[in-house]
Amino acid sequence: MIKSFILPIKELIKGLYTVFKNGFKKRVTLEYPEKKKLLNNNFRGKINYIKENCIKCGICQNVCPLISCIKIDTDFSIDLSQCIFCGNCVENCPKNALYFTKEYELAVNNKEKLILKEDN
Amino acid sequence: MHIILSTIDNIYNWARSNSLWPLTFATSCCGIEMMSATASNFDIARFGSEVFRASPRQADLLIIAGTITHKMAPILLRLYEQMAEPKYVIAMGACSCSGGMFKNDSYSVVYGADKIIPVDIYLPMCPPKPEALIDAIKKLQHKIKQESLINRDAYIRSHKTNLQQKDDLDILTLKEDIQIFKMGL
Amino acid sequence: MSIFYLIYIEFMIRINAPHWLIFALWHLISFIFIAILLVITVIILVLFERKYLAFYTRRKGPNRVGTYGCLQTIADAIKLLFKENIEPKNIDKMIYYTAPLLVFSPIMTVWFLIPFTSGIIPFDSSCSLLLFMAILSIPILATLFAGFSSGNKYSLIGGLRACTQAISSEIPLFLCLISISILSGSMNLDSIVKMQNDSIFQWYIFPNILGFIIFFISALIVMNRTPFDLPEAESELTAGYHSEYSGMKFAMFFLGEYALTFILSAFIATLFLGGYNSPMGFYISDLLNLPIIFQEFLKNIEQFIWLMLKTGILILIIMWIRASYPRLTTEKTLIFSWYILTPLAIFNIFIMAIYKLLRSIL
Repeated sequence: MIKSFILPIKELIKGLYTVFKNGFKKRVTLEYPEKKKLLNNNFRGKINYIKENCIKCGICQNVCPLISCIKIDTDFSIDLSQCIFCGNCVENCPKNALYFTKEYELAVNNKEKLILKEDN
Repeated sequence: MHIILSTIDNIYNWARSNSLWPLTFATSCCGIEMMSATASNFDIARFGSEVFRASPRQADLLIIAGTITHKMAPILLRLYEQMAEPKYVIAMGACSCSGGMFKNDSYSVVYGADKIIPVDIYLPMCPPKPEALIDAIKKLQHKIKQESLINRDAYIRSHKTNLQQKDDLDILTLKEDIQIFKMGL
Repeated sequence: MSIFYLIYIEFMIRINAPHWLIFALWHLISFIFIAILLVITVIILVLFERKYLAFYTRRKGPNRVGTYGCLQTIADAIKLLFKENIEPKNIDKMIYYTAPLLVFSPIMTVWFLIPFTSGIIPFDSSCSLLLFMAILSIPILATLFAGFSSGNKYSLIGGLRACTQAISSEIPLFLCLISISILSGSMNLDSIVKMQNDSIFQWYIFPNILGFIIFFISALIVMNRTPFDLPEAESELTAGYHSEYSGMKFAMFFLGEYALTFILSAFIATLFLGGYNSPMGFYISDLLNLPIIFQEFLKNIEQFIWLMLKTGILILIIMWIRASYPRLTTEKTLIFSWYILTPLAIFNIFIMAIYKLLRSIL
């Protein structure tokens, strides 16, 4: 009967020891604003638009999963607050007018700043 | 008058911006990124948000991480109205900014959380990286530090919502004399 | 009584103060000393817990607010002070507003009973042991008040659970106190400490190791600490007993828990680990040859440091347990408390009585 007490107590002390050993390992925190992670080349960040290459063919609007995200009526504009960053428009543009950058810090105060227009 | 209050403003804003306590509100995939921002690799606890309170009366930041459906909308409104006054909202992810990928023609999703409650910071991308959430909190801290105790009335008035819940039904209606009966929004 | 009291009385007689002023000012000074100590301790302990838990989980705690995060608790306290004062509709007003006061004031009262050094004992009475535990039954009543008066059915259930857990673990606590007073023969905390004064082998932990373990575990249950912290964690499930409180009323619950942790650790250090005595038997400040007044001051400071060291080691162990173990539900805590801790505590009383009898014979 004493044996049925010893085994749980041994396991409890082993648990304490594991946590204690964990305290002396290296810290894994990445101090965010000072140090940032290296991103690979295929990272899908903010979309940029080259005005000279665009021929207003409308392929990006047809291929986008959302109806109202890309508008090419008079000026070209992408609404980044709806965009899901799938990459269909970038991949299918025949003149390579759209490309991904590596920028991901896109928090804004009001939603109008998230609509990318031609003069950006 | 503004000159006399400036030191009190500084201390008041410094204290509030350095200890924002979020509410645990994760509906969808962006919740995983929020949990990852709380874990060891990217630590929100460094900025003061260590305790995620579960009761809305004790929290002062509501991070809407995930899709808001018609069924969830009255609950979100009730949680927002239960929070105590200096309160802020971050809309995280494309679904809560403007409906996201469901904006085509979904019958059950509210197209943007700002149709229900007033939002302070919008954070796009689907889902945003955890570092982007920390960056959004830093921008919110910057926004808080520009407030002033004099404009507090206008600030509280901007937090009043236009909707209310109809009794016994999970429907949100406008708070006006003419009751417009809509199935959600 | 002690060097401080003698200096104070002599100063007062020299300036011909009236008698009532002498007594009143002495108690006022001791109150101010305890209040400052309490505020500093709670501020340090909140930050220390965060950094310590971050140490065990391989991350860094708050480090942006001041250098190494030292201003974090002050920012939290100022923010809680400026929060809106919400009054829900279905509450019972008198009990709702009384509950935070009842949580914090008994904890502050109990700080007066512990002997900090041989000269500083703010309230010396012949039944301090019983008074300590009797006053510490009041915060349990306050959690019941908080759960009952919120207009929330889940808060009521949460408050009842917290109360049941705490009541059922006070029984082994009192039984271990009986075993201590059998060993020492008095209930005065100062004489209990003076009886452990020769060396580390005179401390009461050595004959009474079973009593120490039972007291430690029961104290964890009373403090609502992991692994028994279901009342606190219920805020994560449905609603705990303090979910309808916001602002400064919530801060009373929040800071009261840390103050209770500190004072129960100091109490355990007084009863079992020899209080302000040093483990070697002699004080380090006795080895220096200084005039008597400086030596007395240094001896008091050194006794205070020894007490704080022992309390600190106990707090480290309590928070280490928090980082390691999962929670027990209320049902399992009650089974543990009634079926295992209480019979062991009664058995412990018999063992201590037999030990004392044998020691007085031999």
